[in-house]
Amino acid sequence: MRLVDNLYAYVWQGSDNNCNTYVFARALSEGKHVVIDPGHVATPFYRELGLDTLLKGMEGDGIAEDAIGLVIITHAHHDHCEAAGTIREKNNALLALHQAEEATYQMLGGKIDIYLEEGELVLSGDNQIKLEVYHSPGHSPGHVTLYWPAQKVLIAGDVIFYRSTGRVDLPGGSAKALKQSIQRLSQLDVEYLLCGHPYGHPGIIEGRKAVQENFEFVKRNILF
Amino acid sequence: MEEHRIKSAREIAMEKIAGMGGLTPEEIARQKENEYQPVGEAIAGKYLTRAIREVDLPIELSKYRGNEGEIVRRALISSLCKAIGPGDAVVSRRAMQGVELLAGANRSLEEAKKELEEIISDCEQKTQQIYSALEEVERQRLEKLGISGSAIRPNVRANEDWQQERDKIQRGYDLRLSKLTDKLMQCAGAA
Repeated sequence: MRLVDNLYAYVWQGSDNNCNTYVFARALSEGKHVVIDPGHVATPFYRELGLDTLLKGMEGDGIAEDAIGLVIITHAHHDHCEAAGTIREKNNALLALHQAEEATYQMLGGKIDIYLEEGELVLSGDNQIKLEVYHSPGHSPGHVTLYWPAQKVLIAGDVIFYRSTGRVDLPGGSAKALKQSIQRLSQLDVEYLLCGHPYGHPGIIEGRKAVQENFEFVKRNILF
Repeated sequence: MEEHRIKSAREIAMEKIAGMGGLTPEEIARQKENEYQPVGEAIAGKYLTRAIREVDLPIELSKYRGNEGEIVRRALISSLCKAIGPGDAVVSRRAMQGVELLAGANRSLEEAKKELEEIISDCEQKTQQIYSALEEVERQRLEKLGISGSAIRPNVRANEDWQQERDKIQRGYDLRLSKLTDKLMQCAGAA
């Protein structure tokens, strides 16, 4: 589903746990694409084919699998990154994540090409896309979120969901850090809040007012 | 009439053992070496991974006395010396500190410490230069692919060229290190 400009969203619709995936189409040289959080190859309980579903969805939008040039992982949890290694190997794509996720990702057998840090990420393809990378720990120590100021899009991973937040009881999780991350992200001017999971809601919150209300709800009822 | 009976397997074995005689002194020494050398190596491993504190290293060694203690000490010092190299400065410095704890401070050891610091510093400088050069090459490659900005840092360590270049630099210190460890073994009376 095309969301805005050349950003596409693939909301997970299976029964088992898997993440939402976001794709910047033709965002790199030679028309290559950037995939954010490709999720599971197959989900852990019902063996639903996450990667196949994603690739079919992308194909339907004219985004070819073999033209994936970069995979960004917001954090190294299996439900976000299992398919990343497969895409990397199959399509010779590059893989990027925060260095604080390296140990976890390597335990899952992953290989890292680029470390993501706080700063600007420029994707130069058909158009130039300038993203801001925020280190947003709490759900995991090296969690990153991506903000696209030009379109006021925030790709939030598992930091915040619709009226909920990422869990903090997994290794490296911290409620204090998550609170600070959410506090910080809530200061951004966001029209599209793209969450990492469709928990009780597709996970795409549209409109500045709705996004702010969601931040306020979480801060009021969950964090404070 | 004498009773003939069939000997049991145990009796046959015992008779054979009785005919073999005792172990020679060399065999006893070899047996002790085989028994206590791994003890020294294990203590070194624990010390290097900080499972044994600095103050506890001599105490740990003092649990073994006489000939056995000497074997443990030699194996411990030898293992510490083997851990000294340009690849991991933290481990090298800890190994050197371990040798010093066992040998006691002396002039030769001070010289060896100084030389190790020179090797580490020289090696770090060379590897940093190679790292920076390869990082720049990788950044340029990423830029051609359409990926740039202050948020990205290429993982140079995953690059095969980096691993080869680093190994080449480290191999350049093999001779100096070999002389250094020989010197240390002598200083510690474990040569």
